[in-house]
Amino acid sequence: MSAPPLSLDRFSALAEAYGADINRWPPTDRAAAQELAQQSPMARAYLAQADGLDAMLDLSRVAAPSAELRHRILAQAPRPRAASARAKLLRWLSGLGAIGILTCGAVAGAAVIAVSAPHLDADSVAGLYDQANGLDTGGA
Amino acid sequence: MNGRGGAREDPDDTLLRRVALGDQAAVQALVARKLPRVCALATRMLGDATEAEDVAQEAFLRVWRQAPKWRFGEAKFDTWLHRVTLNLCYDRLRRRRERAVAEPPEQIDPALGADVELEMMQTSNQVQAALAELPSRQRDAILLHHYQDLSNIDAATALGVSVDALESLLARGRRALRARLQGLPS
Repeated sequence: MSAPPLSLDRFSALAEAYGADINRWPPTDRAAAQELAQQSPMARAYLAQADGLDAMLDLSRVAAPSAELRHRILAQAPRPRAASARAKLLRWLSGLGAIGILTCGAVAGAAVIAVSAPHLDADSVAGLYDQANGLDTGGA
Repeated sequence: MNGRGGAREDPDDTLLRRVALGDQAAVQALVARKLPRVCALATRMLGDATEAEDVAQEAFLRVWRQAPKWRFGEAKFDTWLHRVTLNLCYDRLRRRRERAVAEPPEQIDPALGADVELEMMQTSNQVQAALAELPSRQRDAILLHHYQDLSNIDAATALGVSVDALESLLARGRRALRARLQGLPS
């Protein structure tokens, strides 16, 4: 499907305003402009005239931003968001929970040991002591 | 921020969201992408590199403040940034007129000892001077469309004019420039 035709007057006005690069013209006019540029020597002359001015404008150069400016701008930039008070409280509570769990575990472990350990009275302890020292306490 | 353009796809959206969260890689990427454009526009508008750097710093300060509040899907970020830069330059140009400074704006010193470099700098200054002599709206239209590479719709939005008005500003500005720059080697 070919684009609706563009008059030479309109083509000239577009080149005058937007320059020689048809890709920078309003999107709705580009296809018709390309067609006309292929067919019409006059249209190509308008483009050449616009191109001369584009080339002169391109002679204007500006210095790149300095590294110092870049650093100044970066120094003012937002930092990663600090944790909110609520998040800090939650983190503190979860720490407290871990300590609580560990404490409960230790207490429970001690209780189990206390209950399951064999009961030793004074005589048994003395017997164990004598055995260890090679003494016969069995009598004979 | 205005709502023109509706929910257009904005290539800067993702980066801006990360900047709002303080993502330092995104901050650096945004500065790398936009700072040269902001500086170029301000330098061409003001003709003074030092003032242009001040404008760029102020423009980015506004970006940092605006990022967490940015209403995605409304204005295009790049167009908004150009609007901010233009306004900061207008303020300085207004203050300059009020002070009625007689001397011409400072130009960047060319590198010494390099003839070609010197000639290029002189040509660049001639183009810059011709641009500076244009009526301000015509100059701004050319800066936004030719140098900043904005589309006709985005340039018109940044200037607050219709696309037809932009086209007229561009055409009149370019005709005037052609007359002023005749004889310049291209």
